[in-house]
This record gives sequence, C-alpha cells and structure tokens, in this order.
Amino acid sequence: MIRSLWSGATGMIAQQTNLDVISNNLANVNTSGYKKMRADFEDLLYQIDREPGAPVEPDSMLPTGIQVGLGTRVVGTNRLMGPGNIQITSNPLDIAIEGDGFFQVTMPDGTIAYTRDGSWKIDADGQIVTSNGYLLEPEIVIPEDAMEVIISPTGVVSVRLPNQVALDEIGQIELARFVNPAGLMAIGKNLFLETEASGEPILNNPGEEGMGTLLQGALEMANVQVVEEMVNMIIAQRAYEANSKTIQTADELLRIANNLRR
Amino acid sequence: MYRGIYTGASAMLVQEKALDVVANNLANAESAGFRGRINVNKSFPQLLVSRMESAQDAPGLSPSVTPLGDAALNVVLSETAMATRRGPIQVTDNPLDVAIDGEGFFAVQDTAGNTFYTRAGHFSKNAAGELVNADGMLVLGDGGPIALGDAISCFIDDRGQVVADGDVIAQLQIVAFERPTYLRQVGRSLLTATPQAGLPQPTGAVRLVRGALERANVNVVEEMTAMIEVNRAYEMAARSVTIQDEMTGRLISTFSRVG
Repeated sequence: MIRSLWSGATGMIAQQTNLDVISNNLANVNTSGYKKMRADFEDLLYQIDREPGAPVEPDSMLPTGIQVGLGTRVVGTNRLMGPGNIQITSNPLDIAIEGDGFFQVTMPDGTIAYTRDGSWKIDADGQIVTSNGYLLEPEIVIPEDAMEVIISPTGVVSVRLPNQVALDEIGQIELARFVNPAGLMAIGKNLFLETEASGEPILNNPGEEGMGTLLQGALEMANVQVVEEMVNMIIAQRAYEANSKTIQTADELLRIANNLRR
Repeated sequence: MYRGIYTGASAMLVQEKALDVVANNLANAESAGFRGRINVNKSFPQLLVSRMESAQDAPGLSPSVTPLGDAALNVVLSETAMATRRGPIQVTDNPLDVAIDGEGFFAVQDTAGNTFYTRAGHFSKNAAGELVNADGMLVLGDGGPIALGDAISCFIDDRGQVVADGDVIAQLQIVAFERPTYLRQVGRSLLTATPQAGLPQPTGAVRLVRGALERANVNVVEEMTAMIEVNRAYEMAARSVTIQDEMTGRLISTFSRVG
C-alpha cells in the first residue's frame, strides 16, 4: 500500500500526543509549582529506494538518490523547568523557592519525592505536611502554643512562643537539586521522583550552591503561558488537519487505482 | 501492448511516490530542525519511434526503417533532494535550546562513536551532566563531548560557546558541507555524511540564536498544493490508462466481428 497513508497516520498520532501535552499544561495553569511540558518530534526511518551515488550510466551517478521518509514520532516530552510567577499569598506556610531546588517529601511508603509546590499545612500532630498529608523531610514539628512561624530565606524555621521575646529555632528546611531536573519522573500530586536520567539529588540548605532561597508567604505558580499554549494548540490542530488531508489524498489515489479496471 | 498504458501506469507510480515524500514532509512539519525533501521527476531517455517500410514498395530490398519521431515511454522519480532553505525560528526560552542562524550543522555522537549532523538544537543535560540531544546522543564540542557537571546555570551563547556558571567551558562544533543536499537523512532528525556531500568543514563566524529552536523548513501551503497536484496528475494518468484500455477493448470487439 501507499507509504503516505502511514506517514499521515504517524503525523496524526504525534499531533494527538502534542495536544495531550498542551491540554495537560492548560489544565494545570493554576497548579502551584507545576512545570510545563513540551512534546519534541523527529522524523522516523527513511527508505532508501536508490542509494545516493549509485551508478546510472558508466560515467554518471545519482546525485542524491531516492530517500523516502516514513513519517514522524514524538521523541520525548520535555519538562521545562523555568521559574513560574511568584504570587504573594501572605499565608505563613506558603513558601516559594527562588532558584533551582526542590522540597523533599516523605511518601507513605518511605520513599522521598520532590516538589516545587510550597503550599504547606500543619497536621493534627503539628507536623508540616503537603496538601495531601505527606511529611516534609526533614520533619519539622510546630509546637502547639506557637503564635507565629517564621521561615528565613535560608530555611531556618523559628517560632514565637507566648510571653517570650526571642524566637525559638525549631528546624531547618533542606532542599534538593538535580543535575538534570528535566529527567525527574512526575507522579502527580505535584510530586517528582528521582530517576537514572535525573541523577542523584544534591542536598543542601537554601541559599547554598544554586539551591535558591525561600520566600515565606508566597507561592510559585505554574510556568505555563496561556497564550503560548493556545498558539501551540492552533498549530497542533492545523498539523493534524494537514496530515488527515494526506490520508484523504492517499485514499483518493487508491480509489482511482481500484477504478482502473471497470 | 500499447506503450501508452505503461506510460500511464509509470506516471501513477511516480505520483504515488511523490505523495509519500509530501506525506513525510507534512508529518514532520512540527519536527524541530527537520529538512524537507523535494521530488525531482525525469522522463526516461527519449526513444526513437520508427516505422517499418514494407519491402513491396521497393522490390529487392530488405524492409527499411523510417524514423517517425521521438517519444518518452516513461516518467520516473529520479531523485528526492533535501531542501536546504532555513526553517522559521521559534523562541522557547529554554537555556539549552539553540538554533543556527545560517549554514551549518551541530555534530552529535551515538554510544558506538558514530557522528551524525543535525539542525535540531533541543539539547539538555543527562544525569552525568553531559550535553545531549533529545535522543540522548552526546553533543560534540571542539574537544569532544561537553561536560557541564552539576553547574547551576548553563546556556549556549550566540557564538556557540557553552557557558556553565559564568565560565566558557566549550565551543559547540558546528560544521558545514560543500554540498549539503547530498547528506543522507537517517531519521531522528539526523544526517550522515556521504562522499558526495564532501567532508565536514568547521564553519567560521557562525551566529546562533539562544533559547530558540529552528522549526522544520516545510511550507505547509506548498506541500498542500503539491498534494493537490499529485491527486490530479494521478487522476489524469489513470484516465489515460482507462481510455487506452477502452480503445483496446473496442479494437478487439471490432476485429472479432470481422471474423
């Protein structure tokens, strides 16, 4: 059968994936700490019908041969780790990271996950947890009678206790950084897991070696640009349409061929 | 049988292949750095069509041959050439995305040590801190693979210098070929050198666009027009086959009545 039929199909499939990625970006436009993704495409194999340089006549050769490509595919969905906008919320347990680091979170099974979402809560035991109730690592417990929680740019957590002038230091927030943060695996709930592609986490206090400093009372929003996604969506739709036209044309050719013998 | 039937059929086959090429171009209209291909059709060598003179007209002589004129019996797809015009540049703001504004190709290397050339500049760091392309192949600099390590801020500047934490650690290898249309496309946005393309030469002053990607150099309007053209040419060639088939049918039925 005609190769173009399948080439067109690969194009449509690739654009579907593209649209999936775009729609997930748009769906998470208000998710704090969300990092947008981008689908990257590349061409598939080429069928070499005639080698370039094949002899045609004794003293002449084909300059470029006949190479027919077989379509496209998605090579990867690249996560773009650029910073999102910082929104001031004035909530003392909202913390934005100004830099490359990630907060560490202990999952119920004990594995450590990483997140940029700094909307922390306090559970019944006074522990600092994510919106899903997962513990911040290293654990920090806020005393019951604390009147105020103060988090310094370098991650020192202190509280003000009643009838006391000085602040009480109760813990230190530690951040993790990766050589290749785009290689982290997203598991939903704003969490990422370490993979072989991301490399081992490099741990340090905020403010050290590119970890970024903390900003209390603020949240990092998603780094999704709605206009950009909308434009990408239009392009994806048109590319999808063009590929469907290819299939239509291939179908038309086959119909004509079938009608040769009446 | 009639020569024309084969001519018509060969034209149909050529148009099918032409559609294959157009389909691949359209499918890759969103592949960064993709180079489209162009069909080049040629007619078969012209043949001299001749007529046999009856020997009766000139008794004593063997039948002579009188030329009638030229005819091309076939059309063939002789080449698909790589389009070398530049694709549009899209700003992505990804610090390791880079587009070449001008001639030239990035050099990348697979694990077996084979070198490929590409215009797709979506690079990133792997876990070992090396600069790699979207497929994980090592991007080559002047001194081989480029190690960024755990540098905090990395980017590639307008001249192809790789900067990690403020220090220039490498210069991207950007090469040009004497005849780039002769490069072989091997998929995955990669090209390999061929003897016809010449040896890769380092380019002199090259200008890169930082934080941007070169899109495919496919013009959708042109490809759509080509597709319509293919459709109609195929239809016409099919029509010529049908008509000649009908003529042959009429010929056979006429002769059968004589008998």
